[in-house]
Amino acid sequence: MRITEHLLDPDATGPWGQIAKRCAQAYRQTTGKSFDGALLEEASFYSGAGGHGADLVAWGFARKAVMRMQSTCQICGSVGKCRLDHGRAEVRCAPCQLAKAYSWELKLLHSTKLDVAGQPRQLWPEADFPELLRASIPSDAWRKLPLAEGFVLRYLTAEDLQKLMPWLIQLATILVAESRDRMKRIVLQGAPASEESSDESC
Amino acid sequence: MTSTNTTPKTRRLSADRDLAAQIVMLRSTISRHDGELNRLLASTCSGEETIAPGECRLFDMDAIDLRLASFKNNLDRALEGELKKAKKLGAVRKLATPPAAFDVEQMSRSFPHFEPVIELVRQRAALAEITPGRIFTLPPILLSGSPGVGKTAFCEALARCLGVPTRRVDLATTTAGFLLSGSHSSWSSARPGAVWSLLQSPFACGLLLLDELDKACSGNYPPIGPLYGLLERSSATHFADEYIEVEIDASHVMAFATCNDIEQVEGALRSRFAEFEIPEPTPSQMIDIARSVYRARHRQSAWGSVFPDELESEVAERLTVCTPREVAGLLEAAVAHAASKMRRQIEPADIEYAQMARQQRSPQQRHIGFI
Repeated sequence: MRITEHLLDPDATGPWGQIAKRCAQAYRQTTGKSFDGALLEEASFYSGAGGHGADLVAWGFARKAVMRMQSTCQICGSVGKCRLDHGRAEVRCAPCQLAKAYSWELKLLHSTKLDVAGQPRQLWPEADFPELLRASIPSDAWRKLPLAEGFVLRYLTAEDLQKLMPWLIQLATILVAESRDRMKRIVLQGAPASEESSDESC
Repeated sequence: MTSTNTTPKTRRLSADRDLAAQIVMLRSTISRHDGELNRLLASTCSGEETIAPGECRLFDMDAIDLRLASFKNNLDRALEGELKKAKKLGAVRKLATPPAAFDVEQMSRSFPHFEPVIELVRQRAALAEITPGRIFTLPPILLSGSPGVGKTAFCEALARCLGVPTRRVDLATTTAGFLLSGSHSSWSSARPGAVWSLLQSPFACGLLLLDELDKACSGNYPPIGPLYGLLERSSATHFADEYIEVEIDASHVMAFATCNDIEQVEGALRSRFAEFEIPEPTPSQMIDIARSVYRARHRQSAWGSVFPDELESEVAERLTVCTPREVAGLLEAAVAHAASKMRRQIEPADIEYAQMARQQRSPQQRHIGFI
């Protein structure tokens, strides 16, 4: 979704649509004039002060709305973060991004199965795993190599990873299914379902 | 819109608050779907195999890795070889399955005077048949009886019947416990003990044959020390060979001990065994034993291809006055005598000749001093 004047259309009901409409309503209440939707798109490209002609008040409202949108999840309206998805910038909160990020990390892992010499990798140190995958791998699945001063290097062999793969794929499938359910609930109820812990709501 | 609520827990997970939130959610998903995922996880942990019914984990693979890593600078090639071999065989090993009923009956015919022991084997086999994985175990068994009644031969036959590895330890010639539990790797001639060696196979069990237990109970350093732990199930699950220094589950090792004089065996050790006193076979039992010994020799020896498969009844009857141990020697001598007379089967005369020759070779000991 891009920040355009179409966010002011009546059918734009998502969190960004709500922000855009609240912005237009606040401007109208303040100045008595109608808000120019094109300012929103312009403010998303240029955030400097006084970027547009004479109406600095409208520009200020537009900039504030864009700033709010850039930290609001497009799906659920929770606090989000700008993330790149196939070259497109999307704002997603952590729960809405999790399934996608996890699946992407799995694909990334698959693409790094060969080492720099083009040979299949035999060892996978913990640090070579993307963050979410690393966090999801059960602690007793790691092999441990004791190092000096009590440090332990955790790693997996290619064979371990091969055996672990069905588990990782199953987890990714569960995450995608849960994410879909969550989105459905959001569409039907108009708000994210209550999360299980306070950490998950952002 | 809700504000971000980052607890100290999420802060520890990652410096990135957003990533920490994702990790918390990921872990919560994993714990919610614990059962569904655990089925897949069981077979993946540490690359270890799933423990199916009829298998058991002999040792912890991490313990082997740590032991291997511990002497990186002070490399002991023999020890490294032992550990690598154990790793290659895997931590999860098979357990014994009950012997075939036919084999048990065959043993009953070959060793008729061992009927109480065979009955115990039958009962344990029946129990194994109704348990998942058909795990066959026997309690430590102590066979006592006069020399030559076939105690050792019975144990060896039972091991063949079970199809598990066997390790025979002659305690009469053993001078220290390291034969059973290994000697410390700091010794130059250090090596693993019989228990560890026995378990270096695809099985987590085996038959440990402790011959002449009564001869090992005397002296200042009896070699039977490790047996106290090994024969007690709770301590056997944590048995550690002194050389390898890795705990193994030796509780599935089936110990068979033989002795001539049971009174020489310490009470504490005797209490760990199921005791069986093996009587001298009766003359009618001896006929079966003689036939069984002949069949075994016929199978193993080169002359088996020339001589008939079965022993004549008349010949077998001549052997009823001997002990089972003597039978084997007499049969060999009788076969040779028959061959010298250009015959291809044993006759009673051959047995008589063999008995006479034996008496001549070992005349009665002359006593020294006043009688």
